[in-house]
Amino acid sequence: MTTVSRAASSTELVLLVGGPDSGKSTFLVQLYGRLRHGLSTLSLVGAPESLAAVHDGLDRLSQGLPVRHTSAGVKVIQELTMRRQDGEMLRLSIPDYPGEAIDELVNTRNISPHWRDLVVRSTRWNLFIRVERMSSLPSLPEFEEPMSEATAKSRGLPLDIRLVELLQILRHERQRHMLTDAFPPDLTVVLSCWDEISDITDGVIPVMILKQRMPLFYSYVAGNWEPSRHHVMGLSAQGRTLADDKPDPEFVDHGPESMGYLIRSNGSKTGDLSELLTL
Amino acid sequence: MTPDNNAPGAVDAPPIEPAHEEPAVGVDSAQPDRSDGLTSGHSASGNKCKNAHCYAPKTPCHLGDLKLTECENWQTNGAESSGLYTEGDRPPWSGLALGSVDLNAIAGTGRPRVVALIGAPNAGKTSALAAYFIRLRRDYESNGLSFAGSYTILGWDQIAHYAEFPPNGSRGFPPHTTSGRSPALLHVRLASNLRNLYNVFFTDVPGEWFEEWAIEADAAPGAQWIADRADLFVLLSDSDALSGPDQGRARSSYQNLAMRVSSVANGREVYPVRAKADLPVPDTIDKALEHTDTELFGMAATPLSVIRRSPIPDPIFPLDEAIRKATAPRRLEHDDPRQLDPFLGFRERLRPT
Repeated sequence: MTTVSRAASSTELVLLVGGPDSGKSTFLVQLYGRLRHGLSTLSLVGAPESLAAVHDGLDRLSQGLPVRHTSAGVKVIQELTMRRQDGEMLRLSIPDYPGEAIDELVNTRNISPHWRDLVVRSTRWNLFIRVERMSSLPSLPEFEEPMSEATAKSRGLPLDIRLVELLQILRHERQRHMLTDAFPPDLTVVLSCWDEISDITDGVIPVMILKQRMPLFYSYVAGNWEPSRHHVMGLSAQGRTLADDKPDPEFVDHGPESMGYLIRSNGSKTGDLSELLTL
Repeated sequence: MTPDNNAPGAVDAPPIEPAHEEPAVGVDSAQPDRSDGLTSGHSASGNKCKNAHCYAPKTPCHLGDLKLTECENWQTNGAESSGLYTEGDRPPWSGLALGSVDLNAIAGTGRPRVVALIGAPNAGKTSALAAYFIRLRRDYESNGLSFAGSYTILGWDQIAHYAEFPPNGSRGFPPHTTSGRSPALLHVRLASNLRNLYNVFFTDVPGEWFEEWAIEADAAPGAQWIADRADLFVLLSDSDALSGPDQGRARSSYQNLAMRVSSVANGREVYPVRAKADLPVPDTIDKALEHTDTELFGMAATPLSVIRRSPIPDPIFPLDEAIRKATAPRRLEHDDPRQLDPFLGFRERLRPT
């Protein structure tokens, strides 16, 4: 077995987990924009190493256009040094990667050395889910006459099943190295693109949506993380859907840093996206 | 990570085909290619391990060698293959239905509950499992138990997929176990709260095994393996067969099977269930079976239907009831040291979750 060790360090490593188009990059770009404008309880200390992708993203949003898909090899933000309101320093390491890497991980059932490192060293898992991508829940067959051997149309693995298997694999990878604090870190399930969820009514809290749309996945989470160690939040990093061919004038007028919001576990709304990292 | 097969607590290898085979390939269990009855799960290239319990390269090497060519048990069949895995780690389960070899890793950490679904071919065993999984995906909790994981979640998805209503499914039933899918075990971990976790296995094997076993116990080692390990027998009768042109034969073959199950149950509970109960069974046959069930198992069959619009008030109640029975406290559970590997069993009971 490959030896993994974890050096003592005060750096928090937040692992953003999410498939393609689940909104990780847009979140990072919007987070950085707010930090830069001082619109967060955290304040930025120094500049991150690599800003090219963030600048490109902010540039797109300022024109009212959506952030581009992260391609392999592009590092959006690697490390952020921030100061909390109480003066304490917080170093966050936030890896970003193309979401296809997550699908790959479940499809090939192979955890690369890079991922092993991230999974073992991370201190928080933020799982981005776009619930509108979940197919409708299955129901029992309705027919009266049993059909003979039918061939089902091939379809991909449903999102709830895929997410359960993903977390099972990550937890196993984390625990197999038998480090003392190997117990899976706190999990925040982030329901991204909250604005596109169709049946949001007043007073709906994020966990209700998760329970309703993905009961199997929710019970997996609730059965494996203590209540105090998992959260479900809603995120709309842009506040609305942006189209490539139709710039949104409000983004242009008010600036991307004033758009987007977070729905806390209790249903309250905040514009401070950094709460996802410091919960 | 996988326990040695000779370790205490390991389960003897049953003649169930291992799950590493491609799911679409059916294998005739009557023609095993190994003396122990196991069908080889090795790759088509012919490169394989001499150890009957190791399925490298589809799984990690049982002895832990990172490079297969350096393992003394590795046999190459001619050219290609460097014997190297893709760099990285693999979880020790495939996600597909489990064969007996895979079972060792889970069984060794604390005795799981085994629910044996017993019934003639086409009696509806797999459909009952499909309905159960659809239920798990739809409902957050049933009977105070909720889903907390599965080592065979892809296997569950495969069988449930067929039974789902469109647009996702095909309004059909899963293909017959021997022709379209491998006989195997399906696993689910259920939590009654964060402290109580149950590993439950359901058998999903061809009804032909039980048909032969009903006549001649030695004829079907797979059925006998299940009978030796079951915590609960769910014995299915088939309304469709009992009301069809071959109803006489269906009745007598059910009665033979019931006799067999009753003789091996040895104090373990047998739960008779009438599958496809939305179809009516002639009164005389119904009476005869009721007599058999009451005589042998102390209760008449409970009706089960996996069809949404069925005349039965709570058509999938028997599935919940089977789970309830299987997870009920078991005699001598923590007092019988033979059931648990001492080290791993201890750890299981101290789990932080």
